[in-house]
Amino acid sequence: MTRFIDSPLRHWLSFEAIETGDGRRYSMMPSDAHIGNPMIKALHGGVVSTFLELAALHELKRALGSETNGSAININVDYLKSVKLAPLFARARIAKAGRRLVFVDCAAWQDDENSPAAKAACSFTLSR
Amino acid sequence: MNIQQPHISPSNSGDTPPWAELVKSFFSKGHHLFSTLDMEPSKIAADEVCIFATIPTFFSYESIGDCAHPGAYTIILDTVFGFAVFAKIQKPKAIATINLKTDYLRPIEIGSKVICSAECFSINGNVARTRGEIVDYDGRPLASATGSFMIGSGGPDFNRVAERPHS
Repeated sequence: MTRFIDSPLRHWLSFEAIETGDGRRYSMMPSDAHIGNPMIKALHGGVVSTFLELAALHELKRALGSETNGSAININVDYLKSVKLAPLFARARIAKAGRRLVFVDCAAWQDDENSPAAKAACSFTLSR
Repeated sequence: MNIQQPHISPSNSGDTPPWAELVKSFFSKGHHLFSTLDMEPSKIAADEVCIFATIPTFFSYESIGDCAHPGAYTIILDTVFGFAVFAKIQKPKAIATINLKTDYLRPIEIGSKVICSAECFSINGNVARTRGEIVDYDGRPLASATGSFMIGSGGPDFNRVAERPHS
């Protein structure tokens, strides 16, 4: 398993990445600090959004080089089902990489990769 | 945007209704995430909810210097949007975010204080739609967003939260 260079945000999310045969899989380990609805211990939608955007940014760096910096322009997240207090996984895909703009699609799941819990479309401006 | 000193103004009746108590209960020390963001209500009314918040240190991210990862904006916006729905329907019902679209307008430094205002501008059936923005204390826009929420999402009724003793 690859552990990224530590940063407070990665530490807070327990964000990690692992190379698989078909790309890179990102993960976070939710805790009580990430809960939005305490009644059903569901993750906060903004935390899910942050995780998806971080995964998208890492996929951008993976595709274009670690020296590339992407600055997020916007993010559009669809919440497909409640995210439980259990490991959350994601895969990201570069939809389009131009000279100045990159568009990344990302999907997150918990139990079954074919049954996503959330999906996001993120756009970034590039600085190299 | 009208920045006001903290007060709750849920209705003209004088008695604080259950949905406003619910919103206030979320800002108690009992909610880990909201406590970390140091969220404090400025205005809670059917037409607008306004919240103060502080960008926590754990949102620092090495590739963007002292600026926070913009995910902090989405957490604040999703939270305040939810409260705007409560304020509009004036009932503590279970809700769930369907969609959140956020435009990042300006980065913010770690530890900065921000103001988020939001309104629920449409309810159609079980779907509520919200819009709002985050500005800094100089009034400069940092992020704007729209959201949609399912009302009565099938989760436990939030009345149970109001019935629980606050920690």
